[in-house]
Amino acid sequence: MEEKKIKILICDDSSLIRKQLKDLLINMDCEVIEAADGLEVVGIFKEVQPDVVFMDIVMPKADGLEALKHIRAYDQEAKVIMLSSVGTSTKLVQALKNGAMDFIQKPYTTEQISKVITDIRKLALA
Amino acid sequence: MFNQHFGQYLLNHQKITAKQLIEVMDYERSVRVKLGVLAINAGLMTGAQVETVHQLQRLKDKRFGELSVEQGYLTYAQLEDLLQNQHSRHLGLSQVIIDKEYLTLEQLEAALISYKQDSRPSGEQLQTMDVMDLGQTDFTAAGSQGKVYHDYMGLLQRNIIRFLDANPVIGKNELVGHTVSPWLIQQKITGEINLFTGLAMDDATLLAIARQYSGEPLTEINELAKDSATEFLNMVNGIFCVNASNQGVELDLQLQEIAPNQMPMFKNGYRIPINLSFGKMHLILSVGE
Repeated sequence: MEEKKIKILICDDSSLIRKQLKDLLINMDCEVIEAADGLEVVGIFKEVQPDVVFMDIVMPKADGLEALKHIRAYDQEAKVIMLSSVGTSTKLVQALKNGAMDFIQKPYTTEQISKVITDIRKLALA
Repeated sequence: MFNQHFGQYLLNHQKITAKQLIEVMDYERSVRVKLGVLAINAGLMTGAQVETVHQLQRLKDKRFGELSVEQGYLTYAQLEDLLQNQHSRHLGLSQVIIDKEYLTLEQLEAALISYKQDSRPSGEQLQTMDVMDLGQTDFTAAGSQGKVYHDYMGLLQRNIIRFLDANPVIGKNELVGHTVSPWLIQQKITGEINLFTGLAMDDATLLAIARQYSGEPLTEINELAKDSATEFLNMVNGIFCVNASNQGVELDLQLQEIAPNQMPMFKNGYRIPINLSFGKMHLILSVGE
């Protein structure tokens, strides 16, 4: 039986991050949807119900921590990985308190992303 | 950055839980790092040796350092070095983990060793980082803010070497003035100190930086090219904020902007020329305006 593809939502205002992360995730056989700001991502999340969200923090309209709060309020089980250049103590603690599953400091490595996907696949099989 | 990265590493490797990490991050700023943790981190003592000294302390009314020297674990010179580093905050997280008994000393020792092995930069990178100097820059006129200029410049230089060009040549800094640049990328860092950061360049350099940083075959200045060059500055500024946070200074990044034919949004500060193998750009930096 064919394995169901993992559905990933990438939210970043940088088209570079969206493109490169999307290319990487497609190579890992994932289905990818994109959002460009912290407001758009909440609507798209409700619509597509992704398995995991990669979320930037500093973004226009609403920042990633705010978006994370809205998403977790809508779905307590939502898996959101913060992917940001601002990995300060304050942001890290705030993200974890808001329910982030993990925090990856940019620039990310292929290994970091690959580990997330492996973990999500394991959770899906459990 | 060490605390955040090491904390992240422990979480990723299931050594501690997210709840425990939140708790230790909340405490790590106020904790005083003890000699045992410093000695383990420096590779001078094992977790078992630190534990032995702790046991001896229960029997004898002597300090940790004194007993460690008596046992032959440390020399006086090593003890002196450790004492000088006792106020460093970078091991605060490790100390809280021990205080809260989330890991034993031996488990911490193993985690620190594997973390350092996993995150060690290549020999080539280390060599480059060791030999750097900041060219003809002179920030003494900036007074107490000179260190911020110097630290930022050093960080930018390391990341230029890492991502853009192996041999950047830094020129003499001059006052910002009112120069209009063909392209200007700007980003504000706010918080306990305010920094206005900018990179000014012409079309060809913007495209070359975008290509180098992204690895994408860009041939024109489109959204992807602009976002690529902008992301480079955003990444450098992010690391600056994390480094500051590790020194107890909390900063925040504002949205970055890129625009053609633009003058910097601030009048004070410095304009520092950086010659790259593929073009020239200027760092525009103002602290505390």
